[in-house]
Amino acid sequence: MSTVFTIAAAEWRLWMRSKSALAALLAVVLIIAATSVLTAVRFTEERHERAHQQEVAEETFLSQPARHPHRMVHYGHYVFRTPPPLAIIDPGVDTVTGQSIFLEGHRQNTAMFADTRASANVGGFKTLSPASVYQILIPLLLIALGHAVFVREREARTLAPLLAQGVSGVTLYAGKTLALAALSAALLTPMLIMSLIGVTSGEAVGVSLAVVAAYGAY
Amino acid sequence: MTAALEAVELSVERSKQTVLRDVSFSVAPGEVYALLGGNGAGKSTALLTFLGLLTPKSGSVRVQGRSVSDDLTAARRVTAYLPEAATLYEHLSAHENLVYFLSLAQAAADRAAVDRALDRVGLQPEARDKRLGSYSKGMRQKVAIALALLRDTPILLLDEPTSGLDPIAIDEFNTLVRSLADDDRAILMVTHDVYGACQVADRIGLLRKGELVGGFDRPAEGRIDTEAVHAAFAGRAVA
Repeated sequence: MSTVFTIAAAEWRLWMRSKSALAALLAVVLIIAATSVLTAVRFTEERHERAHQQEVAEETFLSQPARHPHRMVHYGHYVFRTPPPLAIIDPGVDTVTGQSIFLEGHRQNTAMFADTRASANVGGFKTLSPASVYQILIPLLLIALGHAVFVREREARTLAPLLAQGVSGVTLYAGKTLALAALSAALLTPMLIMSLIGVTSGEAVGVSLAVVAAYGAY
Repeated sequence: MTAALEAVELSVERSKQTVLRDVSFSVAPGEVYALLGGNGAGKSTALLTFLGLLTPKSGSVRVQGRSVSDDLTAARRVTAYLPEAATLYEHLSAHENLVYFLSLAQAAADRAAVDRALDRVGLQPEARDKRLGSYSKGMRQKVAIALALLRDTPILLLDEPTSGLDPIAIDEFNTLVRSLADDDRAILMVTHDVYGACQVADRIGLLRKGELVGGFDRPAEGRIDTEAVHAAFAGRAVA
Protein backbone atom coordinates (compact mmCIF):
# COMPACT_ATOMS: atom_id res chain seq x y z
CA MET A 1 0.00 0.00 0.00
CA SER A 2 2.87 2.36 0.81
CA THR A 3 4.12 1.91 -2.76
CA VAL A 4 0.77 3.15 -4.06
CA PHE A 5 1.11 6.29 -1.92
CA THR A 6 4.71 6.75 -3.03
CA ILE A 7 3.67 6.66 -6.69
CA ALA A 8 0.77 9.03 -6.04
CA ALA A 9 3.05 11.47 -4.18
CA ALA A 10 5.56 11.34 -7.04
CA GLU A 11 2.81 12.22 -9.49
CA TRP A 12 1.83 15.22 -7.38
CA ARG A 13 5.44 16.30 -7.17
CA LEU A 14 5.67 16.17 -10.96
CA TRP A 15 2.54 18.30 -11.34
CA MET A 16 3.87 20.83 -8.88
CA ARG A 17 7.14 21.06 -10.82
CA SER A 18 5.65 20.98 -14.29
CA LYS A 19 5.02 24.50 -15.54
CA SER A 20 2.19 23.47 -17.84
CA ALA A 21 0.41 21.32 -15.24
CA LEU A 22 0.86 23.96 -12.56
CA ALA A 23 -0.39 26.71 -14.88
CA ALA A 24 -3.48 24.65 -15.76
CA LEU A 25 -4.15 23.90 -12.09
CA LEU A 26 -3.69 27.52 -11.08
CA ALA A 27 -5.94 28.68 -13.91
CA VAL A 28 -8.69 26.31 -12.80
CA VAL A 29 -8.32 27.32 -9.15
CA LEU A 30 -8.47 31.01 -10.11
CA ILE A 31 -11.53 30.41 -12.27
CA ILE A 32 -13.23 28.52 -9.41
CA ALA A 33 -12.41 31.36 -7.01
CA ALA A 34 -13.57 34.05 -9.42
CA THR A 35 -16.80 32.30 -10.37
CA SER A 36 -17.53 31.50 -6.73
CA VAL A 37 -17.18 35.10 -5.64
CA LEU A 38 -19.05 36.50 -8.63
CA THR A 39 -21.84 33.95 -8.39
CA ALA A 40 -22.17 34.54 -4.65
CA VAL A 41 -22.40 38.30 -5.21
CA ARG A 42 -24.90 37.87 -8.03
CA PHE A 43 -26.89 35.38 -5.96
CA THR A 44 -27.11 37.81 -3.05
CA GLU A 45 -28.18 40.69 -5.29
CA GLU A 46 -30.77 38.61 -7.10
CA ARG A 47 -32.13 37.22 -3.88
CA HIS A 48 -32.64 40.71 -2.50
CA GLU A 49 -33.98 42.01 -5.78
CA ARG A 50 -36.51 39.20 -6.17
CA ALA A 51 -37.55 39.42 -2.53
CA HIS A 52 -38.08 43.14 -3.02
CA GLN A 53 -40.07 42.59 -6.21
CA GLN A 54 -42.16 40.01 -4.43
CA GLU A 55 -42.91 42.49 -1.66
CA VAL A 56 -43.95 45.11 -4.21
CA ALA A 57 -46.15 42.58 -6.01
CA GLU A 58 -47.76 41.60 -2.72
CA GLU A 59 -48.42 45.22 -1.83
CA THR A 60 -49.86 45.96 -5.25
CA PHE A 61 -52.12 42.94 -5.05
CA LEU A 62 -53.28 43.69 -1.53
CA SER A 63 -53.77 47.40 -2.12
CA GLN A 64 -56.60 46.77 -4.58
CA PRO A 65 -60.03 48.01 -3.67
CA ALA A 66 -62.54 45.42 -2.51
CA ARG A 67 -63.57 43.30 -5.49
CA HIS A 68 -65.33 40.12 -6.30
CA PRO A 69 -62.92 37.17 -5.80
CA HIS A 70 -63.34 36.15 -9.46
CA ARG A 71 -62.21 39.58 -10.60
CA MET A 72 -59.29 39.35 -8.17
CA VAL A 73 -58.26 36.15 -9.83
CA HIS A 74 -58.46 37.81 -13.24
CA TYR A 75 -56.39 40.71 -11.95
CA GLY A 76 -53.56 38.25 -11.36
CA HIS A 77 -50.49 38.20 -9.22
CA TYR A 78 -46.72 38.05 -9.83
CA VAL A 79 -44.66 35.39 -8.11
CA PHE A 80 -40.87 35.56 -8.05
CA ARG A 81 -38.67 32.58 -7.53
CA THR A 82 -36.21 33.31 -4.75
CA PRO A 83 -32.92 31.55 -5.51
CA PRO A 84 -32.18 28.69 -3.10
CA PRO A 85 -29.00 28.87 -0.96
CA LEU A 86 -27.11 26.42 -3.17
CA ALA A 87 -27.62 28.72 -6.15
CA ILE A 88 -24.21 30.12 -5.22
CA ILE A 89 -22.86 26.87 -6.70
CA ASP A 90 -25.36 26.21 -9.42
CA PRO A 91 -27.88 28.90 -10.38
CA GLY A 92 -30.01 26.15 -11.85
CA VAL A 93 -32.32 26.66 -14.80
CA ASP A 94 -33.55 30.14 -13.89
CA THR A 95 -31.46 31.71 -16.62
CA VAL A 96 -33.26 29.56 -19.19
CA THR A 97 -36.77 29.16 -17.79
CA GLY A 98 -37.17 32.56 -16.17
CA GLN A 99 -37.42 33.86 -12.66
CA SER A 100 -41.03 34.95 -12.25
CA ILE A 101 -44.47 33.93 -13.36
CA PHE A 102 -47.74 35.79 -13.67
CA LEU A 103 -50.56 33.85 -12.05
CA GLU A 104 -54.07 34.63 -13.32
CA GLY A 105 -57.34 32.86 -13.67
CA HIS A 106 -58.17 30.67 -16.72
CA ARG A 107 -54.67 31.02 -18.19
CA GLN A 108 -51.47 29.05 -17.80
CA ASN A 109 -48.58 31.45 -18.30
CA THR A 110 -44.97 30.53 -18.80
CA ALA A 111 -42.18 31.90 -16.62
CA MET A 112 -40.75 35.26 -17.64
CA PHE A 113 -37.50 37.20 -17.67
CA ALA A 114 -35.14 34.41 -18.63
CA ASP A 115 -31.63 35.82 -19.00
CA THR A 116 -31.04 33.80 -22.14
CA ARG A 117 -33.93 35.53 -23.93
CA ALA A 118 -32.33 38.89 -23.30
CA SER A 119 -28.92 37.96 -24.71
CA ALA A 120 -27.24 36.08 -27.51
CA ASN A 121 -28.30 32.49 -27.98
CA VAL A 122 -25.64 30.81 -25.84
CA GLY A 123 -27.95 28.60 -23.79
CA GLY A 124 -26.81 28.01 -20.24
CA PHE A 125 -23.32 29.32 -20.88
CA LYS A 126 -24.17 32.99 -20.64
CA THR A 127 -22.57 33.22 -17.24
CA LEU A 128 -19.85 30.95 -15.92
CA SER A 129 -20.78 29.49 -12.55
CA PRO A 130 -18.85 27.19 -10.20
CA ALA A 131 -21.14 24.39 -11.42
CA SER A 132 -20.13 24.86 -15.05
CA VAL A 133 -16.46 24.88 -14.02
CA TYR A 134 -16.99 21.60 -12.19
CA GLN A 135 -19.01 20.12 -15.02
CA ILE A 136 -16.80 21.17 -17.92
CA LEU A 137 -13.37 22.59 -17.09
CA ILE A 138 -12.29 20.31 -14.25
CA PRO A 139 -13.15 17.06 -16.07
CA LEU A 140 -11.14 18.36 -19.04
CA LEU A 141 -8.19 19.11 -16.75
CA LEU A 142 -8.40 15.66 -15.16
CA ILE A 143 -8.60 13.98 -18.56
CA ALA A 144 -5.54 15.92 -19.77
CA LEU A 145 -3.52 15.08 -16.65
CA GLY A 146 -4.83 11.51 -16.49
CA HIS A 147 -4.00 10.79 -20.09
CA ALA A 148 -0.42 11.87 -19.51
CA VAL A 149 0.30 9.74 -16.44
CA PHE A 150 1.09 6.61 -18.43
CA VAL A 151 1.87 8.09 -21.84
CA ARG A 152 4.56 10.26 -20.27
CA GLU A 153 6.23 7.27 -18.60
CA ARG A 154 6.24 5.39 -21.90
CA GLU A 155 7.54 8.34 -23.94
CA ALA A 156 10.25 9.19 -21.39
CA ARG A 157 11.14 5.48 -21.29
CA THR A 158 10.83 5.43 -17.52
CA LEU A 159 8.17 2.71 -17.55
CA ALA A 160 10.65 -0.17 -17.83
CA PRO A 161 12.88 1.05 -14.95
CA LEU A 162 9.74 1.57 -12.84
CA LEU A 163 8.49 -1.96 -13.44
CA ALA A 164 12.01 -3.30 -12.99
CA GLN A 165 11.91 -2.14 -9.35
CA GLY A 166 9.35 -4.84 -8.69
CA VAL A 167 6.32 -2.58 -8.98
CA SER A 168 3.40 -4.42 -10.56
CA GLY A 169 1.30 -2.83 -13.27
CA VAL A 170 -1.71 -2.91 -10.95
CA THR A 171 0.18 -1.04 -8.20
CA LEU A 172 1.38 1.54 -10.70
CA TYR A 173 -2.16 2.01 -11.98
CA ALA A 174 -3.49 2.28 -8.41
CA GLY A 175 -0.87 4.92 -7.54
CA LYS A 176 -1.61 7.05 -10.58
CA THR A 177 -5.36 6.70 -9.98
CA LEU A 178 -4.95 7.70 -6.33
CA ALA A 179 -3.03 10.82 -7.43
CA LEU A 180 -5.86 11.82 -9.75
CA ALA A 181 -8.51 10.98 -7.15
CA ALA A 182 -6.69 13.09 -4.55
CA LEU A 183 -6.49 15.96 -7.01
CA SER A 184 -10.23 15.64 -7.71
CA ALA A 185 -10.91 15.67 -3.97
CA ALA A 186 -8.69 18.73 -3.49
CA LEU A 187 -10.51 20.52 -6.29
CA LEU A 188 -13.82 19.77 -4.56
CA THR A 189 -12.74 21.76 -1.49
CA PRO A 190 -14.07 25.10 -2.80
CA MET A 191 -17.40 23.43 -3.53
CA LEU A 192 -17.49 22.01 -0.01
CA ILE A 193 -16.87 25.48 1.40
CA MET A 194 -19.64 26.94 -0.77
CA SER A 195 -22.04 24.20 0.26
CA LEU A 196 -21.30 25.00 3.92
CA ILE A 197 -22.07 28.64 3.17
CA GLY A 198 -25.30 27.33 1.66
CA VAL A 199 -26.02 25.54 4.95
CA THR A 200 -25.55 28.77 6.89
CA SER A 201 -28.03 30.41 4.49
CA GLY A 202 -30.67 27.83 5.31
CA GLU A 203 -30.00 24.83 3.09
CA ALA A 204 -30.31 21.35 4.65
CA VAL A 205 -26.96 19.74 5.53
CA GLY A 206 -27.93 16.50 3.81
CA VAL A 207 -28.82 18.29 0.58
CA SER A 208 -25.57 20.27 0.60
CA LEU A 209 -23.45 17.19 1.19
CA ALA A 210 -25.40 15.26 -1.44
CA VAL A 211 -24.56 17.94 -4.01
CA VAL A 212 -20.85 17.72 -3.15
CA ALA A 213 -20.97 13.92 -3.21
CA ALA A 214 -22.73 13.95 -6.58
CA TYR A 215 -20.05 16.21 -8.07
CA GLY A 216 -17.38 14.01 -6.50
CA ALA A 217 -18.90 10.94 -8.10
CA TYR A 218 -19.18 12.78 -11.41
CA MET B 1 24.93 -24.75 -8.45
CA THR B 2 21.76 -23.06 -9.72
CA ALA B 3 22.43 -20.46 -12.37
CA ALA B 4 21.40 -16.95 -11.35
CA LEU B 5 20.15 -16.26 -14.86
CA GLU B 6 19.28 -18.78 -17.50
CA ALA B 7 17.80 -18.55 -20.97
CA VAL B 8 16.67 -21.89 -22.40
CA GLU B 9 16.04 -22.06 -26.15
CA LEU B 10 14.60 -18.59 -25.91
CA SER B 11 12.71 -17.14 -28.85
CA VAL B 12 11.06 -13.74 -28.67
CA GLU B 13 8.93 -11.86 -31.17
CA ARG B 14 8.47 -8.10 -31.28
CA SER B 15 6.02 -6.52 -33.70
CA LYS B 16 5.51 -9.96 -35.31
CA GLN B 17 9.22 -10.28 -36.08
CA THR B 18 11.45 -12.85 -34.46
CA VAL B 19 14.09 -10.90 -32.55
CA LEU B 20 15.64 -13.80 -30.62
CA ARG B 21 15.78 -17.35 -31.94
CA ASP B 22 16.61 -20.40 -29.78
CA VAL B 23 19.08 -18.55 -27.59
CA SER B 24 20.45 -20.43 -24.59
CA PHE B 25 22.95 -19.22 -22.03
CA SER B 26 23.33 -18.97 -18.29
CA VAL B 27 25.07 -16.67 -15.83
CA ALA B 28 26.36 -18.01 -12.53
CA PRO B 29 26.76 -15.97 -9.32
CA GLY B 30 30.07 -14.15 -9.39
CA GLU B 31 30.18 -14.14 -13.16
CA VAL B 32 30.03 -11.36 -15.72
CA TYR B 33 28.40 -12.46 -18.95
CA ALA B 34 28.43 -10.04 -21.87
CA LEU B 35 25.99 -10.38 -24.73
CA LEU B 36 27.77 -8.69 -27.58
CA GLY B 37 26.10 -7.71 -30.80
CA GLY B 38 25.38 -4.94 -33.24
CA ASN B 39 22.30 -2.76 -33.43
CA GLY B 40 19.13 -4.83 -33.68
CA ALA B 41 20.87 -8.07 -32.68
CA GLY B 42 18.35 -8.65 -29.89
CA LYS B 43 20.55 -7.77 -26.91
CA SER B 44 18.14 -5.46 -25.13
CA THR B 45 15.28 -7.80 -25.94
CA ALA B 46 17.04 -10.50 -23.93
CA LEU B 47 17.30 -8.18 -20.92
CA LEU B 48 13.69 -7.10 -21.16
CA THR B 49 12.63 -10.74 -21.27
CA PHE B 50 14.52 -11.43 -18.03
CA LEU B 51 12.63 -8.50 -16.51
CA GLY B 52 9.32 -9.95 -17.66
CA LEU B 53 8.62 -6.93 -19.84
CA LEU B 54 8.53 -9.18 -22.90
CA THR B 55 7.06 -12.67 -23.10
CA PRO B 56 8.96 -15.49 -24.80
CA LYS B 57 7.37 -16.95 -27.89
CA SER B 58 8.99 -20.25 -26.94
CA GLY B 59 11.60 -21.39 -24.48
CA SER B 60 11.97 -19.82 -21.06
CA VAL B 61 13.95 -17.43 -18.91
CA ARG B 62 14.79 -18.29 -15.33
CA VAL B 63 15.98 -16.14 -12.46
CA GLN B 64 17.56 -18.07 -9.59
CA GLY B 65 16.07 -21.24 -10.97
CA ARG B 66 12.48 -19.99 -11.15
CA SER B 67 10.71 -19.16 -14.35
CA VAL B 68 10.19 -15.40 -14.64
CA SER B 69 6.64 -15.92 -15.88
CA ASP B 70 5.83 -17.96 -12.76
CA ASP B 71 6.94 -15.34 -10.25
CA LEU B 72 7.57 -12.04 -11.92
CA THR B 73 7.64 -9.92 -8.77
CA ALA B 74 10.21 -12.20 -7.10
CA ALA B 75 12.40 -12.06 -10.21
CA ARG B 76 12.32 -8.24 -10.25
CA ARG B 77 13.04 -8.00 -6.53
CA VAL B 78 16.38 -9.76 -6.92
CA THR B 79 17.33 -7.95 -10.11
CA ALA B 80 18.72 -4.47 -10.58
CA TYR B 81 18.33 -3.08 -14.08
CA LEU B 82 20.43 -0.36 -15.62
CA PRO B 83 18.53 0.82 -18.70
CA GLU B 84 20.12 2.10 -21.85
CA ALA B 85 20.43 5.89 -21.90
CA ALA B 86 19.74 6.02 -18.14
CA THR B 87 16.08 6.88 -18.31
CA LEU B 88 15.34 8.64 -15.04
CA TYR B 89 13.10 11.57 -14.11
CA GLU B 90 14.37 14.91 -15.34
CA HIS B 91 12.29 16.94 -12.90
CA LEU B 92 13.96 15.24 -9.95
CA SER B 93 17.49 15.62 -8.60
CA ALA B 94 19.89 12.69 -8.38
CA HIS B 95 19.02 12.23 -4.70
CA GLU B 96 15.29 12.40 -5.36
CA ASN B 97 15.50 9.94 -8.24
CA LEU B 98 17.42 7.44 -6.16
CA VAL B 99 15.18 7.76 -3.11
CA TYR B 100 12.07 7.38 -5.27
CA PHE B 101 13.23 4.31 -7.17
CA LEU B 102 14.58 2.71 -4.01
CA SER B 103 11.31 3.26 -2.18
CA LEU B 104 9.49 1.56 -5.07
CA ALA B 105 11.91 -1.35 -4.75
CA GLN B 106 11.29 -1.27 -0.97
CA ALA B 107 15.03 -0.94 -0.46
CA ALA B 108 15.45 1.71 2.20
CA ALA B 109 18.47 3.97 1.83
CA ASP B 110 19.31 7.04 3.84
CA ARG B 111 21.03 10.15 2.54
CA ALA B 112 24.46 8.89 3.65
CA ALA B 113 24.04 5.62 1.73
CA VAL B 114 22.91 7.51 -1.35
CA ASP B 115 25.91 9.81 -1.07
CA ARG B 116 28.26 6.86 -0.71
CA ALA B 117 26.85 5.31 -3.88
CA LEU B 118 27.16 8.60 -5.74
CA ASP B 119 30.73 8.94 -4.46
CA ARG B 120 31.45 5.48 -5.75
CA VAL B 121 30.25 6.35 -9.26
CA GLY B 122 32.02 9.71 -9.14
CA LEU B 123 29.11 12.15 -9.39
CA GLN B 124 30.20 15.59 -8.22
CA PRO B 125 28.60 16.56 -4.86
CA GLU B 126 27.52 19.98 -6.14
CA ALA B 127 25.43 18.35 -8.89
CA ARG B 128 23.49 15.98 -6.67
CA ASP B 129 20.69 18.35 -5.74
CA LYS B 130 20.25 19.71 -9.23
CA ARG B 131 17.52 18.35 -11.45
CA LEU B 132 18.55 15.72 -13.98
CA GLY B 133 17.29 17.95 -16.77
CA SER B 134 20.56 19.85 -16.47
CA TYR B 135 22.76 16.71 -16.44
CA SER B 136 24.94 15.42 -19.23
CA LYS B 137 24.36 11.90 -20.54
CA GLY B 138 27.34 10.59 -18.61
CA MET B 139 26.14 12.14 -15.36
CA ARG B 140 22.74 10.53 -15.78
CA GLN B 141 24.41 7.22 -16.45
CA LYS B 142 26.30 7.57 -13.17
CA VAL B 143 23.05 8.14 -11.29
CA ALA B 144 21.54 5.05 -12.91
CA ILE B 145 24.61 3.03 -11.95
CA ALA B 146 24.32 4.32 -8.38
CA LEU B 147 20.73 3.10 -8.34
CA ALA B 148 21.83 -0.35 -9.44
CA LEU B 149 24.45 -0.34 -6.67
CA LEU B 150 22.01 0.79 -4.00
CA ARG B 151 19.51 -1.91 -4.92
CA ASP B 152 22.19 -4.31 -3.67
CA THR B 153 20.67 -7.24 -5.54
CA PRO B 154 22.40 -10.53 -6.38
CA ILE B 155 21.71 -9.99 -10.09
CA LEU B 156 22.52 -7.00 -12.29
CA LEU B 157 21.20 -6.45 -15.79
CA LEU B 158 23.15 -3.75 -17.60
CA ASP B 159 21.98 -2.37 -20.94
CA GLU B 160 24.82 -0.56 -22.74
CA PRO B 161 26.17 0.55 -19.35
CA THR B 162 29.14 2.57 -20.59
CA SER B 163 27.20 4.46 -23.23
CA GLY B 164 27.87 8.17 -22.78
CA LEU B 165 30.73 7.76 -20.31
CA ASP B 166 34.16 9.22 -20.92
CA PRO B 167 37.16 6.83 -21.13
CA ILE B 168 38.18 7.37 -17.51
CA ALA B 169 34.64 6.78 -16.29
CA ILE B 170 34.44 3.65 -18.47
CA ASP B 171 37.58 2.25 -16.84
CA GLU B 172 36.18 3.07 -13.38
CA PHE B 173 32.90 1.46 -14.31
CA ASN B 174 34.56 -1.70 -15.54
CA THR B 175 36.53 -1.93 -12.30
CA LEU B 176 33.29 -1.45 -10.40
CA VAL B 177 31.56 -4.23 -12.35
CA ARG B 178 34.44 -6.60 -11.62
CA SER B 179 34.31 -5.79 -7.91
CA LEU B 180 30.55 -6.39 -7.88
CA ALA B 181 31.05 -9.75 -9.55
CA ASP B 182 33.73 -10.59 -7.01
CA ASP B 183 31.02 -10.00 -4.37
CA ASP B 184 29.26 -13.00 -5.90
CA ARG B 185 26.79 -11.05 -8.01
CA ALA B 186 25.69 -12.37 -11.36
CA ILE B 187 26.00 -9.70 -14.02
CA LEU B 188 24.49 -9.83 -17.48
CA MET B 189 25.53 -6.90 -19.62
CA VAL B 190 24.58 -6.25 -23.20
CA THR B 191 26.87 -4.06 -25.22
CA HIS B 192 28.37 -3.42 -28.61
CA ASP B 193 31.61 -2.28 -27.00
CA VAL B 194 34.03 -5.12 -27.85
CA TYR B 195 36.90 -3.68 -25.82
CA GLY B 196 34.78 -3.07 -22.73
CA ALA B 197 33.24 -6.54 -22.90
CA CYS B 198 36.66 -8.21 -23.18
CA GLN B 199 37.99 -6.12 -20.32
CA VAL B 200 35.31 -7.03 -17.84
CA ALA B 201 33.50 -10.21 -18.90
CA ASP B 202 34.16 -13.79 -17.83
CA ARG B 203 32.26 -15.00 -20.84
CA ILE B 204 31.01 -13.37 -23.99
CA GLY B 205 28.13 -14.51 -26.14
CA LEU B 206 28.06 -13.13 -29.66
CA LEU B 207 24.58 -12.33 -30.85
CA ARG B 208 23.81 -11.77 -34.51
CA LYS B 209 20.33 -11.29 -35.95
CA GLY B 210 18.79 -12.86 -32.89
CA GLU B 211 20.98 -15.94 -32.82
CA LEU B 212 23.88 -16.80 -30.56
CA VAL B 213 26.62 -17.39 -33.08
CA GLY B 214 29.69 -17.63 -30.90
CA GLY B 215 31.08 -17.68 -27.41
CA PHE B 216 34.33 -16.75 -25.69
CA ASP B 217 35.55 -17.72 -22.23
CA ARG B 218 38.06 -15.85 -20.18
CA PRO B 219 41.31 -17.74 -19.87
CA ALA B 220 42.66 -18.69 -16.47
CA GLU B 221 45.07 -15.77 -16.71
CA GLY B 222 44.38 -12.48 -18.48
CA ARG B 223 41.39 -11.37 -20.48
CA ILE B 224 39.39 -12.54 -23.45
CA ASP B 225 41.26 -11.82 -26.66
CA THR B 226 39.87 -8.58 -28.01
CA GLU B 227 41.15 -9.22 -31.51
CA ALA B 228 39.45 -12.60 -31.74
CA VAL B 229 36.16 -11.21 -30.49
CA HIS B 230 36.42 -8.21 -32.79
CA ALA B 231 37.05 -10.47 -35.74
CA ALA B 232 34.08 -12.65 -34.87
CA PHE B 233 31.94 -9.56 -34.30
CA ALA B 234 32.88 -8.26 -37.72
CA GLY B 235 32.39 -11.69 -39.31
CA ARG B 236 36.05 -12.23 -40.15
CA ALA B 237 38.19 -15.26 -39.49
CA VAL B 238 40.96 -14.79 -36.96
CA ALA B 239 44.46 -15.39 -38.13
